[in-house]
Amino acid sequence: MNDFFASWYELLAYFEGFSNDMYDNQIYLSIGLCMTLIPIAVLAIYYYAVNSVKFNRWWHWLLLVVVLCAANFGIAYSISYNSILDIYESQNASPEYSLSTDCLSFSLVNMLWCFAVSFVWSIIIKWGSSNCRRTPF
Amino acid sequence: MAKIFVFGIGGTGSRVLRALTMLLASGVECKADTIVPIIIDPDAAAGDVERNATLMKQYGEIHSKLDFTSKKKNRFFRTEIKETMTNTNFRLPLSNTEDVLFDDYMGVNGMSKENQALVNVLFSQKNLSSDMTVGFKGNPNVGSVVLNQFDDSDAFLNFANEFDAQDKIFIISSIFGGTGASGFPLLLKTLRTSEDLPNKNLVHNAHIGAITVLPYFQVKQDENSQIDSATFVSKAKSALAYYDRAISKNNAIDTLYYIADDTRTTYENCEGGTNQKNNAHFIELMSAFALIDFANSQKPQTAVHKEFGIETDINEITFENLGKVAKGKLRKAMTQFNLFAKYLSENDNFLAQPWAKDRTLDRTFFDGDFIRTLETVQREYLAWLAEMETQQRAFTPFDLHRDSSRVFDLVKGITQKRLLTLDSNYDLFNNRLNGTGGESKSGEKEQQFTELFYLATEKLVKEKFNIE
Repeated sequence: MNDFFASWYELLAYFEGFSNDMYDNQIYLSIGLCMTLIPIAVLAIYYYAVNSVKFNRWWHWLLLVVVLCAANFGIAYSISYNSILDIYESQNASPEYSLSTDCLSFSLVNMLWCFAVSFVWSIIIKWGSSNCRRTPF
Repeated sequence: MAKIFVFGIGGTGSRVLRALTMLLASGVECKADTIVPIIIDPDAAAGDVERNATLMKQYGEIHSKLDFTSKKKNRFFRTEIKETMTNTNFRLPLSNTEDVLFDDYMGVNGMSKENQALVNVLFSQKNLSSDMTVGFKGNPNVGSVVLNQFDDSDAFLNFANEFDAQDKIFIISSIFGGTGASGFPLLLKTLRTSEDLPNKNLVHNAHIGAITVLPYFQVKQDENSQIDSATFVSKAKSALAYYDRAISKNNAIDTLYYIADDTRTTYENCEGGTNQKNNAHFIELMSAFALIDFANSQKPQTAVHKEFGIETDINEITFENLGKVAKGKLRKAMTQFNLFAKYLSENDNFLAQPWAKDRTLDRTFFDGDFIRTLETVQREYLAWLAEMETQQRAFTPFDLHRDSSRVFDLVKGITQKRLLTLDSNYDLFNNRLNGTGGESKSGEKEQQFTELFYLATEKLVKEKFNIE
């Protein structure tokens, strides 16, 4: 799974040193799981529990996905920064790259994937929703 | 295909037919496949006649676009309303009544002196100088002469030609005016005894019902008008005595309905023409309901007489004041159609809803002839309900507001139930439309649309008002 998510992330951007640390310490896996599973959980709630005419326009969906992307940005930044920092601190060393800059860039990539994944999940699960089956289109 | 040929005589006949059209549009169950209205009114320009003919044509246009095979549940516009002859505006034309004075119509000048003297005994000078174009101005003695010509009319012969064994006949007339009071016994006599009719045996032995509307409104006193409310009751009494002798006792009629109201609205005194356009009245609604009752009945052995009454004598009638049968038949259908009408008139933000997108009901569809005609009929329906509220004894079963924040504050006497959903008002309406599938996804767009609204409103009235 780590390989799977690594190939996704590195398809869009590879950061010298940072990407290796992410891969070697299986950090891609936890962030990737959050990026795929949180959207489906939230979208399932949106399509089947909320399932409301009040919130079935495309901009409601877009707002929800933007919030999901923002949350995943935060999650990706937090996990990647803290995990790598912990690893280097335990070795009394420091990374040879700018950790915060690379974490920020990686979190942006994670956000893009989150948007794409949310879109795909929406297309797959929306059809069973009585009021939101035509959302976002 | 059982038909009911409905003769609507005079202004009351047209107004009752208007109420009947509204009931059929709302899907009140009528045990007939087709209603064939035949309006008998010499006053071709009467506002009531014109308004009703237009309404029935629009109804026919909508009905023709819908499919009522056994799988379909939709009851809106289910019963067909059709003309006996095209281009007659549902009217049975009366010959030689336009721009003719009554004495010329009878040819009084060519009569012998003895006959002229007899005419002067039977008719006043005002009667003789009456213009036939606007009807009989409340004079049944005039009507009984002019209307004695039914079986000469092509429309009447056409009716007899179309008459089948399982068909029925219903006659609507008032007893306190001119046209209805005189037209009803003449028409009945023609139906039962005329030897010149096609299918005469079928027509003679047909199941015939009628409603005789007793005084339920009055008109303002006007010295220049021949119509005087003070004579309504005495005219009704005389006519009732005649009906008893000539109609009931010899079983000429199978079922005779009576209806009246002693709480009466006062209308403008209008002898006829385009201004004769009275507001709708509860009495007319229940007269139309008499036809629904008649449609469900079998031909009795001897004449049956029925009267309509409400549970309590109050001036603002709601569904709760109706008897069990009337309430059961009217409440659900009228509430469903009211919701349907309100949705289209108060709401235009539905193109993005799944129910519309699934069926490709786009702007072109909603701008098309079907929806335009439907909206016109629904506007008429809402106006008709509002008119009944204005009467001295008002029928006011609905809260007729235009407030999209309390759509379901609708049926008086019923507190709407709260449902476990985030949606309310028109969002809840759309919610139920979105959740309706099945047969509402088959057939032409018009069919899908109407079926969908029937099923969704049926669900809503059950959930919100516990009306089944």
